[in-house]
Parts: sequence; structure tokens; C-alpha cells
Amino acid sequence: ILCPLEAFIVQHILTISVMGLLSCFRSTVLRKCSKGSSGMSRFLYTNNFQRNLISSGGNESYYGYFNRRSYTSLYMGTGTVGGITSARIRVPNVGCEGFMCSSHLSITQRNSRLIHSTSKIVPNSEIQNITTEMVKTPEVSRWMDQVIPTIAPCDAAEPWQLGFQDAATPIMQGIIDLHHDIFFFVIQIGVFVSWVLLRALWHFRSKMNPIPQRIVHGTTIEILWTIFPSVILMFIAIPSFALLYSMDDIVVDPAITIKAIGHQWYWTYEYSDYNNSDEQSLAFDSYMIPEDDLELGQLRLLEVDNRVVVPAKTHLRVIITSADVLHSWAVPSLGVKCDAVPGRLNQISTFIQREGVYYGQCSEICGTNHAFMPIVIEAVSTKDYGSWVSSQVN
Amino acid sequence: MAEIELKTAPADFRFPTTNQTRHCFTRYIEFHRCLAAKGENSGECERFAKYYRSLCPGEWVERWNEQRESGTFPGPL
Repeated sequence: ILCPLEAFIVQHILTISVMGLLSCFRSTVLRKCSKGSSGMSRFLYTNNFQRNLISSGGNESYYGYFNRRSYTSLYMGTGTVGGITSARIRVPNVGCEGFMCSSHLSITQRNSRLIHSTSKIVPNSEIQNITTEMVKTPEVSRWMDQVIPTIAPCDAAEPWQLGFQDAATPIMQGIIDLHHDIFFFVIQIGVFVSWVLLRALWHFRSKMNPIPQRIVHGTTIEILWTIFPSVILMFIAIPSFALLYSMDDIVVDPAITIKAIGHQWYWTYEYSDYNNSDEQSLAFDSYMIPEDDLELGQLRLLEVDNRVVVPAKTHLRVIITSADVLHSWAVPSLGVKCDAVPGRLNQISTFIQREGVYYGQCSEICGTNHAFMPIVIEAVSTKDYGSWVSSQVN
Repeated sequence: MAEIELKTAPADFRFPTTNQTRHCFTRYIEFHRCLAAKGENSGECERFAKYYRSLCPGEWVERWNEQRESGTFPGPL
């Protein structure tokens, strides 16, 4: 009897929400009410998708599958509890407003080579006002406004990007620096070896040397080409090992623990530091937003309906596991990539140095929709994080 | 509105590697040993409960609770 009342209350709260950070909060009652229907609906989706895949000979469109899910979700949202737990609120993406902003900020940061962002960070209330104002402006001036970096920078790959994304953690900055150091040696060695090879091909060609030389041993050259590569390898290995062992910063106690659980084909995140019992849980699923549902400025194959919200300048512990098959939790801007193995808890520590929105993707082939389970992390200030947790837990 | 405290399970030198499976399992066992030693109503075990809730996935805890109730839990409680 309580199910409809709870459903009505939760639906009302979802309708009021504007920022879109509200997730599927599963209290004791809701969990018992909605667990079965959610599981059943997911089973039906998978079964339906596989059936269609077999019948169409593998030509099924992934977007058709996601569109069907969206339609069913909207239909279920009208009355049932299961639909409400998977309902998604369509709100503007406050973290990333187009490629122009990303390109501009990337160029700025690459020129200045600063880890800390030079853009002005706007509080959440002002972000809401800016977003509301931007919706009212015409199309042309809206694109012009997006050049101005007035909101948090977005870290996603630019089209055809070859280099690294902008670093947001000391580990990623170390990785980029190590890559530059090793690339210096690689270029030098490549040029030198090519020079030796071409010179040998030229000077020992058959026209000038009809009778080939019979050189079988040279003590001096043996000593030289043994010692010099060893020295070069030492110059490569010392910073590499230093960085590798600095990634295992187990000595620092983290302030927050986040659990990332991989499923086929979405991520589930749990924040359990604020629970007072085993049944209470701040947990939500993170599905990719289908291409047809994207707002203007949102990124294709990268946006999710529920983001991972973390505070910046805070030590985090992310525990990664899987519920079915192998996945990999990878966010390039943070320099993290960790396998999600079922039955095993893998831990990574990270320290995000600037507020922003960071994008990643599953990096272990996990089935048909491996490309459609992105990861979005939103780093906010500590006060905003407290507000977010309070809105979720209470 | 309750105040949110940024506090979680500390790092344990018994489990310094990336693999934290045993860490989660050990925290869970420590909590239930504390309950057995100090009683259900004691508030001293809440700290251990916080630790294992931070580290263990919800599904794991749920399964372990069911195993404890049916007496098939494999750990040394």
C-alpha cells in the first residue's frame, strides 16, 4: 500500500529537481518495492535486445535499442515504481557547453602549462542562471557565448585528438612529463640509428665494394654499444620507476571512498561513507545518454544520466569491481585505468586538483555495448559536495 | 539537515596492494567479532561497521548477511 505513496513522493521530488544531480536513491522501502521490477525490466530489455539481434542477423542498431529503453522508461515513469527508479531528468549539461569552450581552454592551458585551471569557477547557483539565460538567447549568440570560459572546463577528447587530455591530477601530469622525456630519447635514438643505417647502406654498396668486408669482431664497438644503451635505459627507467611507485600512495588516508561496479552495460556507483545501516545506500546507475536525447553541446557517446560527484583537492579512494564480466574504469584526465574483475576489489587513489567535468570510457572489451558505457566525473568544491550528499541522503 | 563528515575507512598496512578484497572481508569479520565480544547494543562496534560499509559493495554485504543467517558464512566469526 505504501508503494504508490512513495512513488508519488519520489516522482514529485524528481520533477522539482533542476540541477539534475539527483540519483536513484534507494531507501529501505523503495529498495524492497523496486528491486524486483527493476531487475525484471532489465532482464526484459536484454532478452528483447538479444532476440532482435538474432532475428535481424546482427544488423540491429544500438540506438534503436536505447531508444526503445527510453520510450519504455518514459512509459513506466507514469505509474510504476520500477520506472521511477530508472527515470532520467533531462536537464542542460552544466559542465560542458560545446567544443569551443574545450578547445579554447585546452589551448590556454597548453600554452601556460599550468595544472591549475586559469578559468573562473562559477558557483552552482550562477551556473543555473547562466544556463537559463543561454537557453533564451538565439542560436548565433549562444555559440558566441560559449567561447567565453565562464564555467568549469570540460575534459574530453577533441575530434581526432592525438595527444593527452589536460591533466587534472599529479599522476597524469607525471605521465605526460614522462612521455615527453622518453619521447626525447626515442627521437634521438631513431635519428641516430637511421643515420647509421643509411650511412652503412651508402658506403658499403656493392658498386664501391665489390669484395665484401669480413669483419667478425671489434672489441671497441662492442664495449660502446653495450655501455651507451645501458646508460640510456637507466635515464629512462629511473623516472619511470619513480612515477610507478608514487602511484601506490597507500600511506595517505583517503577522505572519501567510491565504489564503481561494472555491469553489462552500465556503471553503478556507491557512496557508503554516510550510511547508518546495511540497507541504506547512496547508490545510482550511470547509463549513457542516447544520441537522440543529447542536448545542444553535449558530447556523443560520453554523457551519462547520473554523474559521479567528487570534491576537488581531496584524496579519493575508488574501489572498482564488476558484477558480471571484465570491465575497465578509465578516465584519461585523471590518469587512472583499473580493471573491474568480478569477485575482486581493485583500489586506486587519486587527488583531483581542479574542479571540472572529466570523461572516460570502459576500456576492457565487455560485450556488444562496450562502447556505450561512459564514465563522467564532476569535481566540485567541498561545500558543493556536501550539499550534493545532503540532497541525496536525506 | 545533518552535517556531512568527509571520513572513510583508513588505509590499512595489512593490505598495501591494489587488491582490497581481503581488506573488505577482514573489516566485515572484525565488525561481527566485535559484536560477539561486546554485545549488540554496544556503540563501540559502529566504527567497524562504518569501515566495512565503505569498502564492501552492497551486494556482497547482502549475500554475507544471508549466509550468516543460514550459518554458511565461510569466515571465522
